[in-house]
Amino acid sequence: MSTTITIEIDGQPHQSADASLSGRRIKELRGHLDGRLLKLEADDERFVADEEVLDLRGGEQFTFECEVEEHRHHQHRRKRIVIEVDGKPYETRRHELTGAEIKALAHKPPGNLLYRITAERQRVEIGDTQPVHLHDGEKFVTTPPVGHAS
Amino acid sequence: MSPEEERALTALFGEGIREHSEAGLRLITLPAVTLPPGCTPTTPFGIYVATPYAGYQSRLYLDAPVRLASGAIPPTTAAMLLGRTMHAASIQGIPATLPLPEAILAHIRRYQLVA
Repeated sequence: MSTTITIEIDGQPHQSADASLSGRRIKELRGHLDGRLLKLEADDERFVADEEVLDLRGGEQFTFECEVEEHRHHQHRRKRIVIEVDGKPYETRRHELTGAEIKALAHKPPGNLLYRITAERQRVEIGDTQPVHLHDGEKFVTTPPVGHAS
Repeated sequence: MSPEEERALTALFGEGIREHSEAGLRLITLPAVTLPPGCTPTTPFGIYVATPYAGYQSRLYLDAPVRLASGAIPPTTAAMLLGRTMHAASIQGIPATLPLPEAILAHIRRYQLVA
């Protein structure tokens, strides 16, 4: 019995009867795109080599990046950024993290509340599933949900 | 206080965070405590007592009683600290053993949650 899966390439749905596809085959589904890099969009986005075979479940999203030579420059530009959580620096190459991921990066209890501190010293609460586009030097603080009025 | 605590407190409350000792109490002065939206005053001067005091595990005193966004004024007590009359809402259950920024934020958060 064969099952057709659907993946998204450059925002367009593509179907395949084979759930094991190489990077080259995925490129072919989209058309002739030699010289460009195939990127799997996921929590930990990454590039897929032509010869790499992926076991797909359906629903995966792929995009194309700039050509190889430009990619080297791109990777160079995609530098590490340092954020501060509770006054302590933490380094990441990912420029977008959710609130839960920021707490995990800083080894904070998942139940803690997370706030981003703005340049005006305002606190903005960040939800666990809320994505945050990070900037170098950005500051966050956490607090446990303790305390009650008496 | 640790360098990390001082850095986080400065980011939250401005330059000039100082630690003091008075009558056996560990006191942290906070130049401008940004209270939750709708509270008045908006950014009072604060003194955090990082020592069990007057039946509380820790206390956050502000230089004026706070009116909440709802218009209510929570039960408040006054104390003389570092030569100033300071006011604290009755908030329990915040251990003085927490890192300073976490404890102080937990106090401030109560001003948002109390109706």
